[in-house]
Amino acid sequence: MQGLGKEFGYSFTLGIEITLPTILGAVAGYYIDKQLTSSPVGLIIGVFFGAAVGLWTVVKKFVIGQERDEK
Amino acid sequence: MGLEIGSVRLIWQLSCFGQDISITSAVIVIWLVALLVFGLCYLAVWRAKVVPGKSQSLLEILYEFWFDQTKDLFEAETDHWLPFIFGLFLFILVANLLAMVPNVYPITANINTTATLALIVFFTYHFAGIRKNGLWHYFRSFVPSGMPLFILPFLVLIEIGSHLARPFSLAVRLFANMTAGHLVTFTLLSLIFVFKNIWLTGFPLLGRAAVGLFEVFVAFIQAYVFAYLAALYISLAASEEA
Repeated sequence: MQGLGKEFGYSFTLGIEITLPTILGAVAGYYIDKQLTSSPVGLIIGVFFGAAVGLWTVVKKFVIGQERDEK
Repeated sequence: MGLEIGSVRLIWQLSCFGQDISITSAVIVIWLVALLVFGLCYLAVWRAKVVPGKSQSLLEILYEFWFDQTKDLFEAETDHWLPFIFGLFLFILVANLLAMVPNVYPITANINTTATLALIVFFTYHFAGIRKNGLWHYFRSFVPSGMPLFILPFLVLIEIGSHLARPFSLAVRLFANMTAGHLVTFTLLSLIFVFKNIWLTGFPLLGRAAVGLFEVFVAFIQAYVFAYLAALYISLAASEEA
């Protein structure tokens, strides 16, 4: 039950942990573009930065989870 | 039409140092949920027995479930953090279930409530990290070890970004899941007025019943996910793996 709960928890977080930082990055980039009239540089950097944050979060969580399971 | 389920009614207008702290129907429901959680827990363990009754058994099963879930995360500090995690779980669970009662304002389908809960978790896990490791050591863990120097500034930025994204993902996950359930219910019941045919009324009602059962499942899962992630973040911060 404990393992199943943990897997449930992980799977429910995966999608949002990748997509949300990407969206936040895009929104931040869009507003920076609006302020600095630098379109579309801010948006592009924001999207890539957000996606990197999302992937980093998920990869880190799984690596740490795996290390803990091995212990 | 905005993405808002139900409407917040103003009950008592209040302000403090120019800040609006009015009592609304949402605030009343938050108080009600807190009172219910406290009252039910108190009643369950009031005159606790060695051979527990029904309510005491249920509370003990839930508490032991969370003890099992978090003992690997917190290790020696499980007893210290478990009341916070268990309280968070019960608060969200009762709020989610209470939202299914007609005319009760669904507080977890309001981004302000979920954002507040997420911010509480955000500040708590940083506090846990600083308390355990000290200010300098805690923030040093934001710099990953064993990385090439040219990639390090970028990784630190990503690390800070991932910390800032955590409260957003906590708040949006709970808010979106609860709002989605209420929107599906609203859409299904609206079909009755679209069909305007008494013979077809059964289909939306059957659909509503099925969605209602699924919503109970979602209420439990979302409360579990929120509390489990809070436990995970606190344990990561305390173990310098933040």
